[in-house]
Amino acid sequence: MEAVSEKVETTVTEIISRSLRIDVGKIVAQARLFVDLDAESLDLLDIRYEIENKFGIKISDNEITESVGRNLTQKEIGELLTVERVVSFVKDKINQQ
Amino acid sequence: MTQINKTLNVLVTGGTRGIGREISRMIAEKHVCRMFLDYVQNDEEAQRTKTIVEGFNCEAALLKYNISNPDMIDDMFNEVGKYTSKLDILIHCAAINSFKPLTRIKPNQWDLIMNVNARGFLYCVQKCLPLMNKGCIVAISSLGSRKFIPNYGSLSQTKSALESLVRDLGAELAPRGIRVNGITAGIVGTEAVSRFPLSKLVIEDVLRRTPAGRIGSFADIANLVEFLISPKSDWIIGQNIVIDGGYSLT
Repeated sequence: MEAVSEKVETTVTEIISRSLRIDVGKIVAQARLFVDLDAESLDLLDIRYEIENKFGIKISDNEITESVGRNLTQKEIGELLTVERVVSFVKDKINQQ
Repeated sequence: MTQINKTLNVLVTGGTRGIGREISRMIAEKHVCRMFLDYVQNDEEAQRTKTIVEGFNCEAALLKYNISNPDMIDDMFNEVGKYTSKLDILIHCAAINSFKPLTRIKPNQWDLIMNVNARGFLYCVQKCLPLMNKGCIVAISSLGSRKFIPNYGSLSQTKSALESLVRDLGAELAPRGIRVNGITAGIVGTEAVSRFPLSKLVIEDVLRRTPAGRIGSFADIANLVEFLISPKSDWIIGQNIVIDGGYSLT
């Protein structure tokens, strides 16, 4: 179980790294995608597609951003959507399957 | 003479919102058909379009597949194959964009936009061929393919690629009885246009320079699609037809 969890973390970080062209070593769990890593909405779409592809899961519209809370402003989402939040989201999705 | 209605099997990528929805609606209104409506985002709107199409006594199936990914296109055509062994019409409306200067487009964004807008079309056409014995393929492009539009560059280069594909596939597939054409649309009142930076100013400027005195409607585009899939356009092959109220003439 621990190994699977670590694999998810590694893979998600690699996906984010590839998409945003940031060295894996520079991506920390607490990094906020939109604020610290300079991601844009199109990047999040790219990341979502790659996650779907790599893990064989389907992610609905806004599901990743809504995982940090519903009815939030863009600014609030920007503050809350971290790498670890995305990792946790993917783990939950895999567990639900 | 009474027209014999045969059931048309139609696949529309990006077929559930905006221009794609109007095209789907118009085809459903005018033909006996089975519609395959591909989409990626917004389940509610997709369901709404399905209901509209079914209201014309056409069958409709929603296909939620991301056409930036060839594996997903494979899956989409596998699903189509469960319903039918032939396709008569493919309309490619799916497109994504990032409204900003080209100098700020990142490589991953370039890839994603190109893969949906242009490569996705090519691969859909390739996957269509085993199912299409005579038919029509129409791709929806835009004036950005041949004209500078500020903050539109990421879409423009993909539309240029799309129009090249239309031209070449038009020639390659005509001997098989498959007509490929494109529509180079001027500014149309879509949700995407409303997200355009300074959209109000852009629209005002376009209006000033458009002889027709108005921007395009979804129906303008759908009407041309209807013509391009009809026998009346039988001798039109590999063309990207500009429809813009005369804007590009000024």
